[in-house]
Amino acid sequence: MEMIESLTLELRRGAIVLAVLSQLHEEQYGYSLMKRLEEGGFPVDQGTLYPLLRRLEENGLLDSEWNVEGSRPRRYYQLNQTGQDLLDALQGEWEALNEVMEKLLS
Amino acid sequence: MKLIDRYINAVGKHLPRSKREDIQKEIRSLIEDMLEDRSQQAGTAPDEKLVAEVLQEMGAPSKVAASYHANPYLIGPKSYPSFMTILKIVLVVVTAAFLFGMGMSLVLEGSNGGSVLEGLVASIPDLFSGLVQAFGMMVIIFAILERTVPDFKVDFDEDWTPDDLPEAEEPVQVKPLENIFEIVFTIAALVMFNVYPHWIGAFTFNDGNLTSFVPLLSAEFLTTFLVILNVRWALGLGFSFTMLWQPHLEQYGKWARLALKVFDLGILWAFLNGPQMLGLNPAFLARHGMTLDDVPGIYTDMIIPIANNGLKLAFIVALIVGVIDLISKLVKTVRPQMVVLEK
Repeated sequence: MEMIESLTLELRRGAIVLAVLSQLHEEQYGYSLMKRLEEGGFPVDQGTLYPLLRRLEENGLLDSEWNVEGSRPRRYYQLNQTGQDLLDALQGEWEALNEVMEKLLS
Repeated sequence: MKLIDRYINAVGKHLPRSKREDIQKEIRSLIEDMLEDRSQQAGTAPDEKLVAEVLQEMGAPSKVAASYHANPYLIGPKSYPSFMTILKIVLVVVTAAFLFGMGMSLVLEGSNGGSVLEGLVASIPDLFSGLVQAFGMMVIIFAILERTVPDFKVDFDEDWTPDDLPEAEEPVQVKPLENIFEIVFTIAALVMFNVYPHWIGAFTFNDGNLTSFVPLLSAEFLTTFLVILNVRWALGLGFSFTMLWQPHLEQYGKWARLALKVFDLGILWAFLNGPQMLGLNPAFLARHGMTLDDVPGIYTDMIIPIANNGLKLAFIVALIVGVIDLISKLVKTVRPQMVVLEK
């Protein structure tokens, strides 16, 4: 059981970046993105998501800004052009991999 | 909401100064979003109890802070293989240097009254602390490289090609000539040490003519070791004769050869601890019509001590090489090649 858990975790870990990037066409703050991923069936805990968003920003894939207009200040993240290009490339890879895996597993 | 402030402060203590404020701000925003969400779900206003629940869910402040560190490793997965490779080399070199140094000091200074075994045992703590120090240094060096050189790794196998593969291990061929040599030399040694021990010594030649001879095999050495050497040579002869009729070295042959090697190491060990091999022997001198007075002083002053020390060094080197060889042969014998690849 433990092995299934750890290997499943490993599989999901590989897909987190793709999942996160896919939801950032429009700007999102951390918690709203977390909720969105959870509702979409891909729950990611805050301890993983928040540091990941910062790293993606540091790598130049996301832009962020503090928005103080709402009830409290929130940091909003959104894909920039580099992030968009990477997402397109990753999506292509994912689809190809998916196709191959489906063939292998059938 | 003092609990939140305390939590945010506690997280901040574990964050790098440059990013502290920004990350703290973001964590506060996250906690408040979570609180708002939970209180809406529960239909109540957020209170200290709900705050405590949310903070419990977030986890220990140090854990939250750690998730913001990009490289949580002292030595990361990329450089770890290089670390292990270099570490192995360093530890082997340190051990070899240590053994060499110890052998040299035994030869040069003697074992100060104690036996070689006592000397070895007494220096084990030194070797151990030397190895621990080397290990510590390696960890420090790699930890620094990990943080200062991006993508640091050493690839020893970069230029690898299939030609570098070791030859497939063939069954060990018994070489008859080798065995015949062994038999001839063993018989020669047996005869020499048992019948003509007084002919073992130093010859001096002048223009191709023997001008003087001094027998140098010490009487104590001979009485101590002759029996055990004879046993070893007899066993060796038995082994070599048996092997003459074997095309391949079978498993039992390998074990017999290993047993002989262990025997040899034991003899070398005894040589190091027993009486010196060379010395003036009045009985042997008498057989050449000489007395102790006829032997030039240079023999007792220089030749014999230097030769004995040289022999001691040779025995130590042979012992170390022998032990390493024994271990590698032992591993090969215990774990025989499962698949013999076709060439």
